[in-house]
Amino acid sequence: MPRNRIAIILALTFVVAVCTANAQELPTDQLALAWREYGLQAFSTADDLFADVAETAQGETRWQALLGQAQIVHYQMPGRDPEEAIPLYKALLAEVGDKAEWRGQVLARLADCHAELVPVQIDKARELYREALATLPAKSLMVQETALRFLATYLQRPDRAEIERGLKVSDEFAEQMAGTPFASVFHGLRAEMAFFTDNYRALAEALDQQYRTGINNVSVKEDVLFRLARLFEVELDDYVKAEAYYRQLASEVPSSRKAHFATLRADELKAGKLDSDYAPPLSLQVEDATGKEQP
Amino acid sequence: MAAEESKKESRSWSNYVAVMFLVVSFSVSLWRVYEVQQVEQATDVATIRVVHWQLEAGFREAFDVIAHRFEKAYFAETGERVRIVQNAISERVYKQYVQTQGIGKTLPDLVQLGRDELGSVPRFFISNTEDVQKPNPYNKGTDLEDVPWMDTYLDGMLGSVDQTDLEYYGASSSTYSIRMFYNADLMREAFDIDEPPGGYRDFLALCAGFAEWAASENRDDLTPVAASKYQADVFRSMRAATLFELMLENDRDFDGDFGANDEVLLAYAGGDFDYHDPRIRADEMTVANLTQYFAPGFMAMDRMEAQFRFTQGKALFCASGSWDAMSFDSQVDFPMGICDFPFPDRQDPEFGQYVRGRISEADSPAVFRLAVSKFSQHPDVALRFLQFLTSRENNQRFNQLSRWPPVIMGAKPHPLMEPFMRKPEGFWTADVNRIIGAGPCTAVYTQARWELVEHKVDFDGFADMLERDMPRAMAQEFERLLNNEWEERLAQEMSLSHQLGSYSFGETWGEAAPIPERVQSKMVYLWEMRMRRYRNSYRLLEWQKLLDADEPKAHEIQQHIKIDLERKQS
Repeated sequence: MPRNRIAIILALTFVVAVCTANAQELPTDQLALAWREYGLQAFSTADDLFADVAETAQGETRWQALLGQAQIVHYQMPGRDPEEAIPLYKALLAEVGDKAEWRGQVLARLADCHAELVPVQIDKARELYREALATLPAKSLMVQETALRFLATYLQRPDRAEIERGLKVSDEFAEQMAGTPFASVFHGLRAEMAFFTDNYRALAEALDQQYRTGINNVSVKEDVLFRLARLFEVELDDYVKAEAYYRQLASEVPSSRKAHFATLRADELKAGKLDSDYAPPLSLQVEDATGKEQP
Repeated sequence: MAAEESKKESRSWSNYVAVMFLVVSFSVSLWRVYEVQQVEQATDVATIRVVHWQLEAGFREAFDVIAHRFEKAYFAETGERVRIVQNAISERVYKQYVQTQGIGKTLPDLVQLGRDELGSVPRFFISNTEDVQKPNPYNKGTDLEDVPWMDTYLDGMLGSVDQTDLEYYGASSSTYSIRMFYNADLMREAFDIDEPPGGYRDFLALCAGFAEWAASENRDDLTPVAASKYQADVFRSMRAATLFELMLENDRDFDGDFGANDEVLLAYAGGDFDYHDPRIRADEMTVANLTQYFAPGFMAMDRMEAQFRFTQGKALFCASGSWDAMSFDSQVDFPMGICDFPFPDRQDPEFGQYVRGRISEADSPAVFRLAVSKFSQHPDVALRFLQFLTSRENNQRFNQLSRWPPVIMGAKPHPLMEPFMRKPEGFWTADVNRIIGAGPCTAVYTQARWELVEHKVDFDGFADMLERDMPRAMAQEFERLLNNEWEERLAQEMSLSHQLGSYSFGETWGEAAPIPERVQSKMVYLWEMRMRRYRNSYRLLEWQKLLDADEPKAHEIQQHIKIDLERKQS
């Protein structure tokens, strides 16, 4: 046999071997790669990988791939399309049957779609979130995550009564949020609801809980402590608490550009100095408030 | 005949010399190539290649010194040889270089970050989140011995967090600040003093006095301040915190931040402040009072031209960042001083009643961040070099040599850099003339400000321009704000959906399985940011309140709103 034929055969054998090896890549490896690409926002590569797995795999592996594909349609930017994602999630929902964790998760994504449609379908979204919450296994962190999404729907429309209702509805989740990683976020959402409706007492309480249950992001912590200090100082007239939060800010976030002012103002409040050398005077505000109370 | 013979002979000698010269040159070249190849192909030496864009004087030399120290230290520690090779690339092509090398999987071991495409950092670089939470081994024997690497940084290493995937990438080595440079010779010649006065008014008087002195000496080539349009911006660092009370008064959500946000719109539309406000006047006029001492036609000058004017001894003052200090120092042939900006204080006759103090530099960014690329052959060695570079001792040495301000706690700067050390005490200020970044309000403000600093209009003229054009610009920015907020929430939703995928399925991914605690904390982190992305409904509620209260400015702005705001926000 001529040499060049041997060379061609060897090369072809090599190509076939490599393709076979690639084809034998485990679906779980492909899924890991697909989610990695998804995280890096390389959606077309991720979509190809998900599609491959969805075609060849069965059961939960296939569902994972189908969910990935649906999420790409739902979230990829530009071109996100929650409306188009709805039938994909519905088809997946039909496949997963009674598997609680799967069903709950897909219902939550469906709810997200309805909350994002224009015009928004809040009632439908809430109904689906409720269904997801009832379905998800109690121990899953997805329960708290879904509850946050459900509560966030009350912040979505410029409707004061609805936001106030959201604050009340949130009470029913307080117990199940306690001690979970999302407890702080839960109180943060409550703080937003209280702020939107000018309920400063509830705002202070929620921010305090947000801080006490632990904040990950340093700039959020800086924000919360400063808001608490200012709120107690200018709206709730509790200067002892205001001073304490200012000091907390200076000691817990010493690299903050607000730390210097916080220390100065805490010292002034400790000395009983309402009218700051640095911030707008409080005495005028106190006089105004006194004046309002008089007939 | 004899002359011709001698001419021939000398020609043949010169030919021999030329041939010899060629042979020697060629041999030397060959030898050099051989030497380089020997080093390149040496199997017993790990080569760490570093790429960055810092072409400032002295920087590369300082880096080489630290690199050689590391090579020795690493050999002493492990008995293995390592070589650090740096390659400085022009900033103009740097971004393209990193992107193409990243795609081609040929990125060097350590790459300076800061000019990268969004999302490219997690793709091309190795995260060091775990490492930054452990002590830096090169701080052993110091009081930082047990301190996590991240906490040895003045900024807590916040600048190393990538916003795409919330992981730490790389480590910075320096920081920067902006100061004034002065020509001590001219100062002495004109005023018989060695240092400029610290006060704002004294500084203005000095500039005026210098202009008079130069005129009396017939020195038309001299100017008090070397500046261009660029430096007019740099000199904004001399503003004091005159807006502080205005900001706190109108800070609706109590977070202390007023400016470049919705609160500007609501306060302006509600008539709570306008652009004739004396505090805004103090803020703007602080710089406008100075620009009269800039060289005529400064707006047409470019940055380098203005700096050249200073280094040539033609100006008393100039302003720039710490990155230019060493270049200035090496270019000038006069004693050069560096000082803080003389900002107005509380005793200032014109602005004093509004001054609350200086502006804090607590949030000066950390710079020269190197990260380990995924294509590094020796990622562990590269990381070790980063730790070496950012130990207190070496960070001090590196920054003293390069003349940059150090970024590690307790590292002492070079005497030239002492005036550049960050001053965290102080207050903060903000842009009270815009709602979002780079929108029509910024365009309106910038145009009016150039007119003001060029003294084509006075402050009232400046404020009139803003009052005339802001309602339309704010209407446009309001529309964009609602849209941006909505889009940013969706972008976060995308990141969150990735973490939800990792949380639910990560354990099925074999070796690629993420650490569950990390995924969980990223989910919480994303939610902490996400929950503030529902403010559109608050804005619309407050906006309606202003319209219902018949606030004239709110109605004026409303006239320019072209879209259905409620539909836009969701």
